[in-house]
Amino acid sequence: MGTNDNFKRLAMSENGFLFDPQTGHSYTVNEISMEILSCLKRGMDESGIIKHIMDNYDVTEDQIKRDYNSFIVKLKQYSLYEETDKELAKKFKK
Amino acid sequence: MAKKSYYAPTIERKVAGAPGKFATSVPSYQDNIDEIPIKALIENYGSPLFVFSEKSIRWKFKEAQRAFSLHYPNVKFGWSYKTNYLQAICATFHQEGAWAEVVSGMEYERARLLGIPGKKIIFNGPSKTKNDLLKAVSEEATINIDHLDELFLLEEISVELGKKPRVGVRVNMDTGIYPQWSRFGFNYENREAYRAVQRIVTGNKLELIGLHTHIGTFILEPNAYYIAAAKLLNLAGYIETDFGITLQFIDLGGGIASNNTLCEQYLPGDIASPNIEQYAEAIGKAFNESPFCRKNQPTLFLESGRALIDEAGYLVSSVIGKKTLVDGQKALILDAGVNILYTSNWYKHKFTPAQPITGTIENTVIYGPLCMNIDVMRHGIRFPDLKIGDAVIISPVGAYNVTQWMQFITYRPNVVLITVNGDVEIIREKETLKDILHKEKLPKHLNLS
Ligand SMILES: Cc1ncc(COP(=O)(O)O)c(C=O)c1O
Repeated sequence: MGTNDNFKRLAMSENGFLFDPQTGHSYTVNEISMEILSCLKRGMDESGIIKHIMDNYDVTEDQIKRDYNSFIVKLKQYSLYEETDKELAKKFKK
Repeated sequence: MAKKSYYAPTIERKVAGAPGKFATSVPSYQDNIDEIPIKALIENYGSPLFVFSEKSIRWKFKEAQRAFSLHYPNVKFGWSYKTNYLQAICATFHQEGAWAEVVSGMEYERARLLGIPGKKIIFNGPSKTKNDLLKAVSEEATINIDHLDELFLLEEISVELGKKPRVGVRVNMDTGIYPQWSRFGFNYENREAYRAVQRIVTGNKLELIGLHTHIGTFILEPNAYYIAAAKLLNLAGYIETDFGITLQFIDLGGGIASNNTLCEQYLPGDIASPNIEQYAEAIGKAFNESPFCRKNQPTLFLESGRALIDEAGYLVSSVIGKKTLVDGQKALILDAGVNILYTSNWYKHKFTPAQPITGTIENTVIYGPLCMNIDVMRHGIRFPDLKIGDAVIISPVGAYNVTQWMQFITYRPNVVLITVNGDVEIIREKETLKDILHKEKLPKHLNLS
C-alpha cells in the first residue's frame, strides 16, 4: 500500500495550488482532486478513496471509478505517481 | 447530511507564458438560443439538432442591405442557394427581397418551386446542361457564362427558341489575393474576357447585360473587392465605348467572410474578420470612382452566402462519452461528427457548454461519434469538464453544412427554425431508414427473405 516519494514531496495549498519543489512545476487542482490527493498522501488505497468520495459527494460508483482512473493516468503522466509493486501485484491478480 | 455536488477531479500543470491573450479566454455557457432553452430543444427535437434563428437571418440581411446601400443605393442580393438551400431559409431571404443565385438545374428547380420567377434568378456555375439552359432562357433568367462551350450552346439555344438569352460574362482576375480563382470564367488580365464579349457581340444571338466575378471565398481582405469592382467597371466602360452596349449589372459574387475562425487562423474570427461595412466601403469606393457608374448607375449584385447565414445557425450536440488519451489529454465524444458538420474541415468552430460550468477547464479534444480517426471536431481547446448527457452548442454553422452534410453511418438530424415570434418549427425532419432505403433497389436474386 502507499504512494511513492515523488508524491509525498508535493506542497498543497488549500485553494487548489500544488507545487513540486524538486522540479519547480506547479499545478492547479479542483476540490475533488484535493480530496483524492490528500487521501493518497495518507496512504489510502483505491477502494478506500472511492468510498471516501462517495460518502461525501453526490456521485455514483461507476462515475467515480472512471474519473479516479483517469485522474491517476494524469498523475502518472506528470510523474507524480507510480503504483507500488504491491498495488501492481494486486491489479495483476484480478 | 446532504452530500456535496460532485465534479470530476482534474489536475493541470501551469505552463508559463504559453497561452496567448485570446487562447486563455475562459469559456462561458449559453443555455438558450433566442430564449428557447437548449434543454427543451433537445427534449422535443432530439440531439444532435441544427437550430436556425429567423431573427438573426433577417437582422443580418437588413444589416448588409443597409451597409451597402449607404455607399451605393442600387444594390441587390442574390441568395446563394448552395450555401443553404433549405426551403425555409431561402424563403426568408426572398421575403427580405433577395433574388436567387443558383449553380445547377436542381437549385434552379428549387427556386422556381418556391415561386421565384426566372427573371429573378441568376444562373451561375460551370455545369449548366442544355435542358437547364433551355428552361432558364425561356424563363428569362440571367445566365453568367463560364466558358466558350457554354457560350456556343447558348447561341444554339437562342436559334432554337427564337429568343435572345440574357447573359453576363463571368470574369476571373488578379485581385492580390491567394489563391487566385482562375478556373471559372474568362480572364481579365490576358483580355480573354474582352474577347468573349467581342465574340458575343459579333455572334449577335445573346443579349449581353452584365459582368460577373466571384473572386474566392472567406476573403479577409476588403481591398480585393475594390480591385475586382474597379476592374469589372473598367471593362464595362470599354464595352460601352467599343461596342455601344451599356451593361445593366456588375455582379461581385460572394466570398465575404463570416465570423468563423479558419483552422490556420490564430485570432478568433469575430476579431479577425472585417465587418460588412468594410467590404461595403471598398466596393462603394470603386463604384463611386467609376465614370461608367456615375453615368449609368448599374445594379450591383452581391451573392454573399456564408456572411449572411453562418451566424444564424447552431448545432446542438450532447456528450456521449469521455476519456483520457494516452498523452493525458482529455477527450469528449459528442453525438455530432464531421458527417453533419462538414465545415469542421475549414473552421475552428466555437464550442459553448449549454449549462453552467462546474468542472475545471482543461485542454480537450472533441470527437464526433463516427468510427473514423478523422472524426475530430476540435483539436486541443480549453474546455470545462462536462458530464455525460451535457449539451454543447457549436457555432457558427449556418453556411454549407445542411447542404454539404453526408448521410453516413447514421441519420441526419432534425433542423429547426426559431421564428421571429419565438415558435420552433421543424424545417427538415430527421431521416429514417425508410427515407434512406427509398432509392435503393435489391435485385431479385439477392433477396434473402
Ligand atoms: C458563384 C458564386 N457565388 C456566390 C458564392 C457564395 O460564396 P460565399 O459563401 O463565400 O459568400 C459562391 C460560392 O462558392 C459562388 O461560387
